[in-house]
Amino acid sequence: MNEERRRFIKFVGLGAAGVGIGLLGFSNLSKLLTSAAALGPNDLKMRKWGMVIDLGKCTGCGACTEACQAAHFIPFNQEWIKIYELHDNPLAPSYHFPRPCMHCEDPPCRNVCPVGATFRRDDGVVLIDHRICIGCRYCMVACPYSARYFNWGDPPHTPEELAHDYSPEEPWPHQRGVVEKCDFCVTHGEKGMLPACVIGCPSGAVYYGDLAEDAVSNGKEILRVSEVMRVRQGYRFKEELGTHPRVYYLPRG
Amino acid sequence: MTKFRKSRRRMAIFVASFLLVTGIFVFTPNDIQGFLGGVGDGKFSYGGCSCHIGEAQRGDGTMTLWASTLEADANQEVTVIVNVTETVLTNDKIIGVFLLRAMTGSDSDQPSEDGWRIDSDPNGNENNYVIKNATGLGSPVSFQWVLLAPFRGGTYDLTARAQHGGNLNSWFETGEVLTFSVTGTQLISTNLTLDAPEEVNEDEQFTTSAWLTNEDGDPLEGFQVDFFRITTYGNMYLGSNITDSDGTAYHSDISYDIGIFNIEARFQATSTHAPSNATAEIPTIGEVESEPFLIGGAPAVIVFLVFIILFSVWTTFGFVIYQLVRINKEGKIEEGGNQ
Amino acid sequence: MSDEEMERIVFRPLVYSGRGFYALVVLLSGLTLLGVYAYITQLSQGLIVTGMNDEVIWGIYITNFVFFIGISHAGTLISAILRLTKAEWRRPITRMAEAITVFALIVGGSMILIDMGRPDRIQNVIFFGRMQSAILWDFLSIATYLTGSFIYLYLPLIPDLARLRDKLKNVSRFKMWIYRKFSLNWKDTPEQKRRLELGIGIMAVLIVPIAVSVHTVVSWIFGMTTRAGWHSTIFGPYFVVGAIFSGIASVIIAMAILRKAYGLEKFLKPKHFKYLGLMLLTLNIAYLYFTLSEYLTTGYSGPEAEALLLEQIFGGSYATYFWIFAVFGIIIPAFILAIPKTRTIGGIVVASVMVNLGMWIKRFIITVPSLAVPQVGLEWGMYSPTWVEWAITLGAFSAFSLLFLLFSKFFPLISIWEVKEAPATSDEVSE
Repeated sequence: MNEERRRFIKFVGLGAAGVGIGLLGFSNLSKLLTSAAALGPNDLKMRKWGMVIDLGKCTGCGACTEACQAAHFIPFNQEWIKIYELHDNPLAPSYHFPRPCMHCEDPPCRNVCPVGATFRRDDGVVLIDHRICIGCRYCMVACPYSARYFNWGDPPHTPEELAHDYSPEEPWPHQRGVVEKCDFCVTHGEKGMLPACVIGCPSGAVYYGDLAEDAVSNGKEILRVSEVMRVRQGYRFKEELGTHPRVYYLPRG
Repeated sequence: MTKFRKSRRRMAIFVASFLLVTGIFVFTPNDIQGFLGGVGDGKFSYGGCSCHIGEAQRGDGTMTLWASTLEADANQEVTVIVNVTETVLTNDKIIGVFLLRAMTGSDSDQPSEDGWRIDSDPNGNENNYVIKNATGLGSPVSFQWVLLAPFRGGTYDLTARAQHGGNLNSWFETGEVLTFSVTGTQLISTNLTLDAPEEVNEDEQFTTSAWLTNEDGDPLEGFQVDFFRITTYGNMYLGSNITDSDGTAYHSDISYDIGIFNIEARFQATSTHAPSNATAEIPTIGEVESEPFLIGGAPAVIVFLVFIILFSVWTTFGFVIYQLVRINKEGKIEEGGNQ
Repeated sequence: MSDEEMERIVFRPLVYSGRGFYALVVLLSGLTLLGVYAYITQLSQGLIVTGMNDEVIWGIYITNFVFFIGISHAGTLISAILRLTKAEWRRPITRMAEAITVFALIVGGSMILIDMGRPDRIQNVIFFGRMQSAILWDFLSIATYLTGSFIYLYLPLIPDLARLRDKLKNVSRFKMWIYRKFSLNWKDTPEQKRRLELGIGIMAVLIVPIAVSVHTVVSWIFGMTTRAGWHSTIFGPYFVVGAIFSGIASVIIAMAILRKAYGLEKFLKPKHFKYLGLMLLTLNIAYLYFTLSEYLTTGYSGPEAEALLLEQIFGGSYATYFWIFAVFGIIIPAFILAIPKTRTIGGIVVASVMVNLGMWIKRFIITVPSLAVPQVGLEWGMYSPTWVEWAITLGAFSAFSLLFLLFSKFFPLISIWEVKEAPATSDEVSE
């Protein structure tokens, strides 16, 4: 009886483990196999959220960073959009360079995530699911733009923040031990509103829109992206890395 | 009998553990796949703020309306100011205001339905929905529109609706309605027909033609037609052209991406002719960019290879452990033989 | 040496423990508990208690991880490669090397867990694992390596456990239970022998590529990013060579300590130190070669960030560490090992200690400065480890030593049956 039971438990255990491993393998494989599926006719209205930043208009005032921090209840003064001062060469003057998350089309952070907590939506927005993130910070190491931040300790909370239902698109209440970054205010875009940094920018240097519509707006004017890229010699930051950012820059002058 | 019962219980335990394990492995990954697809298609309507209707929570605030005049001639400039105060703001401190002709929650709420034309909105554009920043909680924000009165005579209503904060649950309406009485003029009414390709390829030039006629169907020559692209954040000016002797104005453009190119041709009113407009949807087709190597389907082969290698390594481990089992058995037999 | 003498020497640590042993256990447990206390502090307050920040994202936890995984290559090389090449002198040292592998892997693997922001979600690696991530490759290869090296440690233990079961008296019931249970009814029959040799043979062949893959994948965690100083094709072999280098040094240190403590002079003869010392010298030169070619290539015509990084490493804020590594970790050991006069047991052990210290520093130089390089703008990241990190590091080394010490009290450190089976001639010839 005892012997029999032991053998039975062994059998169940082995069977379950086998099935589990098989299914795990299958779920991974099927995830891989289906990801390159073609688009159907309903997907024609697919969004392609993007940003254009006019470096000629940026004064480096930091209002975008503050607006972003307020809108997202960002802890620890993380700068999801951060203003750097860049100096390209000895003869050129230095300039202010706002750096949001680039929402790359081939994001290195997504590629290295061991658990798929970082993912890229079909509209091109790269988000983090904080319910899955294990806090290994490999994505921060992989990001060539230093656009990611880590909640090293317990973030301070406000009642308003705690009342919110968490979703990767609106990632608060914030929690400890996970990686945070710019979410492109994608819920704003879906409602026809502009991201916090765009609205917050007093000089209108930050433009946001659906690149599939070839149009970006700073709330005051609408730019035709293809046109302005051609005329102003727009570029993407660290193009040579092949990450294909969705954030474009218009050089000064 | 007992044997049967026992085997049934065993069966139940087995099925339960099978379901448990299957459940863990099948359902847990699904949790994440739910977010992988795009929620994407944000439908936003400039007119009726249809996206707001049905949202339960109302925000607080007071909104007052002011107009430069309530009696206007056709095509006369009318200034409308919306003052918003005592708003409970969220942290983004933004307020959005819709200028509307009615409050039914549909696209036909747009003032343009009555023939109003927006000369300038608070941002200098031509939108009936505008977002502004508030300097502080509850501080007043004012929105000023300059409108051109409709050509057709009659009485027309204008009212407003506001929303505040980053969250669309917070909105409120004003009870006030501005009622204008407009003295119409007899303009020659016009008709614009926009002829666009049924489908275009991305990155390829295409041409649309707008055909301007009067009410009798005769082509009108020498008038300017403006072309716009309707986008999420408003109408983007594409270019203008003058109608030729056939009454046709052409516009050539390129659609750079898969999706729908929403184009609008507009004939602005003149002192003799009434305005008209026409829209068309041009679906753009093209090759869907596939996901880069190692993310898309290509590495299935590699994954398969890795699985094969790992499988053979672990099977070999198993084989070695099997040797241990045999060693143990051998020892037991030896023991039995000795005794 | 007779069977009785051999058994007397090897069994002595298993039946007798001196005051020194207990003192050491207390000391090491204390230090390990200090590490545990530090980890509990970290668990309750988050990684904010460490010196890591949004610029320098990884610190000495990852340094320790790479270091311990490196040490774990000792067992593979000494045991498997020497077994495959039929080097007879390996016989008395294989057990120690294999034990080092298993314990270094356990400690090294737990460093990853300690570095995680959400260790409570470790199961997500299984449930949501993505094959595209180098961390998952690491997870798989380390799990495979740990299992494999555990089997590989266990297999040659079986005949010795049977010997302990049959010959040891006056040991605790727990110990005897272990010996009885895990010797698997070993009767030394030809059939059992055949199967054991088959298993060992298979594992010896299998463990070498697995070990190489493990440290290659560890290097790929760094190499697959675009960071300056990491994005290098040489990293795989560079790390493997470095791993074997520090692994041999660790075996030499362990040998020297245990030889003194347990009086194993009859087994661990000067020639073992000499051979291992020469292997250490070979790998020293190989590592120097890799280091030179890595830095020279990127330094001669690298992108701006690489040049900035090298500037900091050679003459900036990391220069002290780098030159300590270069002089004390590579150059001086090379001379000690190369000159016959200094190639004594003492000299070789001193060189090994220097090598291991140097290699820890080198792993620090690989991990931290590359993260401190500004990717946008000009501001360098700053990092100085806190007491929590140092306490956990100290605890890790103590735990490693404690595990090894306890192992030496339960299992024979010399593979008796393998030493016995050595061809009689080899001993004299190689002397």
